[in-house]
Amino acid sequence: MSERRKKQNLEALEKRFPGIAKLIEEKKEELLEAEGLQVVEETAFTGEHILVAEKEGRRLYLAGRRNPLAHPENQVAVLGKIISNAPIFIVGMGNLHYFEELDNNADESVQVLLYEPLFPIFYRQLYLADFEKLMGKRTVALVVGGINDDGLDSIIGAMLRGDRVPLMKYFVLPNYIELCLGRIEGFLKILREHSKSYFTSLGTKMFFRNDIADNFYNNVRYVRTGYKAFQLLNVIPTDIPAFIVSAGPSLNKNIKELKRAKNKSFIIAVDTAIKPLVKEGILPDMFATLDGIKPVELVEQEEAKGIPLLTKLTATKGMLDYHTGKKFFINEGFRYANKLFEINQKSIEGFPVGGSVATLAFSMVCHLGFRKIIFVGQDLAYTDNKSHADGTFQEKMPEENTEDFIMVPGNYKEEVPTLSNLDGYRKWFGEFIKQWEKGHYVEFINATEGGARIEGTVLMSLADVIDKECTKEVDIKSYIDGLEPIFNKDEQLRIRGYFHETPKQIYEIVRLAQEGKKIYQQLDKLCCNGNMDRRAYQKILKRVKKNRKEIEGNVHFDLLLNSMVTAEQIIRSGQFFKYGTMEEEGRELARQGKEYMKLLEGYAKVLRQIAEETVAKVE
Amino acid sequence: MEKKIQELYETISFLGFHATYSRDNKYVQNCQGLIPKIQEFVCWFFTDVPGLEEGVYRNLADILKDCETAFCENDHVLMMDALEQGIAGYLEMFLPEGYFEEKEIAYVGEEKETES
Repeated sequence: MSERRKKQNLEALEKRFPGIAKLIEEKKEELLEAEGLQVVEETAFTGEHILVAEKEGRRLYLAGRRNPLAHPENQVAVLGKIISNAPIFIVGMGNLHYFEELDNNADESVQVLLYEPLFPIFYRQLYLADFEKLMGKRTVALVVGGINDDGLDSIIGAMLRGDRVPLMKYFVLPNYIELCLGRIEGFLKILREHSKSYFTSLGTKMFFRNDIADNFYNNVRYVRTGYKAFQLLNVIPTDIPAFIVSAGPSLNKNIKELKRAKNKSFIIAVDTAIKPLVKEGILPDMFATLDGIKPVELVEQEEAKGIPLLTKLTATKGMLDYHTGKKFFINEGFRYANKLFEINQKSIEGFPVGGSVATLAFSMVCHLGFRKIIFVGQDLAYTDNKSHADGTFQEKMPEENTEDFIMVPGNYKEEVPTLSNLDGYRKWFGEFIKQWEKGHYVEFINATEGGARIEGTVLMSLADVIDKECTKEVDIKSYIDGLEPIFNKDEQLRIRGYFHETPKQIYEIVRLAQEGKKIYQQLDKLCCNGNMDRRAYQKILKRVKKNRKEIEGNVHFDLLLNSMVTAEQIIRSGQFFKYGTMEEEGRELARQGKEYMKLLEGYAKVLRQIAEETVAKVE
Repeated sequence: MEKKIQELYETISFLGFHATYSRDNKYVQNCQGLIPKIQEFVCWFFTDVPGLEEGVYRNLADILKDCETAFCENDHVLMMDALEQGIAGYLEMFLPEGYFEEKEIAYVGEEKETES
């Protein structure tokens, strides 16, 4: 073994990954011993050195004896076309021909993560390979088990950022499954999670795409006379417990008990829980709604109309129209909504909402400073094979077949069936609690008498919680009644003026889209000429960029972005494709651009019509 | 025998491709059914092919030994190397003339049909 080669390699790695050489030297003995893996060399028929791993009496080759290059060639061939900027993940460094072969077949923009879960294999390669030559000019991330693998998740996340998930490719070197199955599973889990969150966000946007703008322009009218969730801060006393009442099937088990908590706590319910609560004579202090396509029938109760409402601008418009009480909003990042505050030298605060109505309500009570937060009916699972409590969607909720459901740890059973979106919320709660506890003294109690386990909560029966925590009388209604709307009369008038200008503002996007279409037509014409003028090409590209910047600068573009996600996705993924010639690239750009502008113009016209029927009619 | 050789050759190619393309970790198990066929081929080879040098005997014995070791250890790499880089080379010697050209034409033709 060449000590000189090892020294050179450590120097080369140190240049790329400062601090790594020291870490390797410090940890090598401990890691070599801990793995219990011997890595020995053999000479292949080709004369090169190959590695063999010996573990617990087993002997496994890491490269072929006869031709160590054959499988790497096949492996890279089956990956298909490697697009520029694609993230590639290679697990295992037992045979570096895999990396070399990939390097030969991918342009320099391709980013590679080399992950060696087994330190002894990496350490042996330090003596054999030439890392400087191997990595060349390419951007390579290196993760080695025991050295820096605690950062694997964030490195993968960073490599997949910017819509790169569809371009990703990965492979695991053969025999690694035999050598370290758990670590390979861990790696695949990380990949799965990142991919899932990418496609979930895409899917959610697609799901809402027809309703989002419609709900938004309808609901934004209520901001003018509405309230901010943060107005409740320091108004509602926080030395009482806060109950988050959800509509999980377990709510039926203890709903009657909840009556005792009224006027001795702050009760916020999710929209779906309203009907069963009202039926039991319990009026929560507040309720929350967030979904863009919830049936209004869920809250259609005369008593519910006046209950203060925590909501989002993209929530079902009918829900807000039906409701007549105080509406509380948060900052969702829509520039148009934020403008209503800016023109009045005011601002609105936001907080993480987590994606479900229960996570929204929960996050708010945390931010209001409550120190005892109690979940009720928060099953996040199909307790007794039911999706919701009786009296929500149906008087008697039917039992469902949960055979194919995923199983997660339960509160009172070892495992309970659930769906992956519910499990996603369960994990969100757990993670939020973990982070929140770092800076706040809060007790999280789960009084759901069934359902899935939420990490960081203490299980207690609702009766016990109420006996223990609900000891002080409080009149929440009087505190909320005392609040003034965000905007005074003059400010409301100013907002009305701004509302009336809205169709005109949106028309500006229509005009820009038409202009953009013309620019792309010019680009197409230019690229179809046999002898393309490069300067003219650059000039047109500058105009494309300027046009795009102006479109994106329009405050209504946020809504369009959500509404036309399919078109946007084509453009965003298309940015990574490379073409043989500039003409070819230009023609494709022009084709995509024209399509995009056509869609943009169409959607903007729809938006304008919605605005004319909603905000423009505010009196 | 020609047909059997062709079938064995194609099965080896397919199993290797399948394991790589589909990330199938059962490669060694999937190859188990090939053993009697390989043994049959080797017997035929030693009996019917005249004038073999000692090196060929040694090489084939080495390949068979690697197959056996790969089975015992569940060694994916060694099995694939022994089959694709070892035994397949001997099988190729007995494939009908023009075999690869025919395959190429067949695949290219197929692709063109799909495109149209």
